[in-house]
Amino acid sequence: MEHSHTKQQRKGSANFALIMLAGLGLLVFMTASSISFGAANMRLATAWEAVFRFDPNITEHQIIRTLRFPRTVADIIVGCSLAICGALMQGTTRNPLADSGLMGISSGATFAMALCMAFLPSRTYGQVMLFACLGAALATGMTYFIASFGRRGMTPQRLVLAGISISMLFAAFSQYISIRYKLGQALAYWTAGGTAGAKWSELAVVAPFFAAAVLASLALSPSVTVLSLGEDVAMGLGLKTGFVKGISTIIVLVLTGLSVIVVGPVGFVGLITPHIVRYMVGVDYRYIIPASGLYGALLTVFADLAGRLINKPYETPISVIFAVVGVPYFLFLARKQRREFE
Amino acid sequence: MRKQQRFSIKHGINVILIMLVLMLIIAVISINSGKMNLSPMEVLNVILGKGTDRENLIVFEFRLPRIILAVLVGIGMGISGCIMQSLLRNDMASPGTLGISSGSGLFVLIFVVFIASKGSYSAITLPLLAFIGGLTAAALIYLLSYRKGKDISPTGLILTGVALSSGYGAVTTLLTLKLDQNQMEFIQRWSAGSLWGDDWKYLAILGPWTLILCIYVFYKSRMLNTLHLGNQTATGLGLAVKAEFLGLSIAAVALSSGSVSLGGNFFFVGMISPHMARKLVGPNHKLLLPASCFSGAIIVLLADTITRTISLGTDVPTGIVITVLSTPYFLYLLAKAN
Repeated sequence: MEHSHTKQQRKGSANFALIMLAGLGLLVFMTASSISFGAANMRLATAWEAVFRFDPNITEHQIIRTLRFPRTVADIIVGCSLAICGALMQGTTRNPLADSGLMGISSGATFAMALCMAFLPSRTYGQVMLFACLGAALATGMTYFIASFGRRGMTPQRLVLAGISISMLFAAFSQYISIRYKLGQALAYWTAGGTAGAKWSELAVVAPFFAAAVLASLALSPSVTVLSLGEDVAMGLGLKTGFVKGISTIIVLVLTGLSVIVVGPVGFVGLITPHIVRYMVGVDYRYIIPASGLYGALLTVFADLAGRLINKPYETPISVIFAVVGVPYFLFLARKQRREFE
Repeated sequence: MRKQQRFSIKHGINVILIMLVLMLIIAVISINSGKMNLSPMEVLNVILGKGTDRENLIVFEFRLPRIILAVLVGIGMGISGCIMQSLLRNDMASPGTLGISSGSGLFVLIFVVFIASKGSYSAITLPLLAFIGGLTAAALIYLLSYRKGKDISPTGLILTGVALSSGYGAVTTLLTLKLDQNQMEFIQRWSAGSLWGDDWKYLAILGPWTLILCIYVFYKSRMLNTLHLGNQTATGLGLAVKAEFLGLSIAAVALSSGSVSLGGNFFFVGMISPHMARKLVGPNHKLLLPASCFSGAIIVLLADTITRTISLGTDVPTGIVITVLSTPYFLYLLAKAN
């Protein structure tokens, strides 16, 4: 760990509270903007009225109630989930390049989604979510299993390569299913990653799982901090490392599964957010995990809004926006990583 | 030295001859099989010019071009992967892992979206564009991982390649949303590796393209042997390292682009065939290059024959079969590599 002890103390809880408050303020502001701007701009007052004094005869109120508002909530849920996943994975595997998109998790969930589209015409949202989680679990299991072979154990590079090959494998299965059952365009629109289609009824199914997983991740965060010091140290301090890893994997799977069914596979949020947050709050995962959740939500709402405004009235998928930002950042991290290895 | 004996020239030539025979046998099986089965005798008749019109049509217009395409694509990917692994001295290098084939792929997609819809284009446009795309990707990777005064780190190159691939992936996603149902289906099948360019007019370009580049690379196999020892050693041995490196890289990119544009994106072939070849004939490039050719060709041909004989409920792109068959081998290599 490059950070010194004093630095960690300086970025203590007062600082953390300030950062969370600032993030919350920004999130409220972004949410308000996200509701008012879009293909058609609306005044904030209208949005306010739509929420609190809803009048079904006004079209604008209808747009806000059925389109903009659920969409923004979906952005928040997804951004928060993916960023927390990234933080948990980076903490428990001590791998700075961990991200649910790069580890093949999203491709597993996508595969499960394709299976559902093909074989479960009368699917309920809850079932799809269950399958997405199972698919995610399968892919993660395979990636970790393969990456942990070898003499030098699980190096970041090996994890990335194992992740990409597992992604290729599951992508091949998904492609087969989509060609066999002619799901090409349906799947492509969904893969592009958009919250535009989010509905209240769907979010209601997802919400309890989301809340439970977020709470669990907060409860687990002190143990993650200990684990991030290294497995040997953690064991020496009396931590049940297997238990913590198991629980954190389950949280990651649930959060990834629910994000994948809400927006489709979106990469890089989970990679970038914890790194940004680490600059602000230091290396303690008790701070990193909640801050990642908050700032992940903020980033996603922002990316979605940007996607709506860049090329009006067409929408740019958030997965594209994140890739534009995420690829250079990944390159930067990969470069820094290498310097530490050499 | 038992190891040297095992990889003697004579042994190597024998192995390569066996591979050639194996490839021909698979090709014959491949001609025989498909939706309409032809017996070997019937095929022989057709080749001797005594077939019926229907048999002629099946063999010359459907089966043969496809087989030739499969072989050419396999050769291109196999050699290209072999060159990249030797030049970079990295077992995990290949057009797929370095993101070069996705670069080519992006340009093919741009072609489909912006040019193919307008009608007029000649058969060479596609390979040429794929080549430009591949070169751009290669240059980008090189620039991004280049650091002054140091050898390029192999793992760094691959991480860069992976990152760039996902960048291309995002642009691809953006472009696919503009496509209509037909274009969508073409791109989907193409990216899954469908060997779509099985038409004589495309083969007339890919054939010479691959052949000329192969001759160039075979001619340079001694240089590759030297470069494989390391840049410093190669310089010490009096090799113009930079020029040779550049020439061979461009040849590798050109070979993989040709395969990618007409065959599709075969992620694993370029990576696996050199490994198999090295197991069989050892590290001498005079043997390794032809052996990589044939192992690549055999993989693609075999996978294609499988897709055409075993009914999977639909016309499955060859690439899917290759990916499913070769992922375990790749993972095995990954688990073993340092």
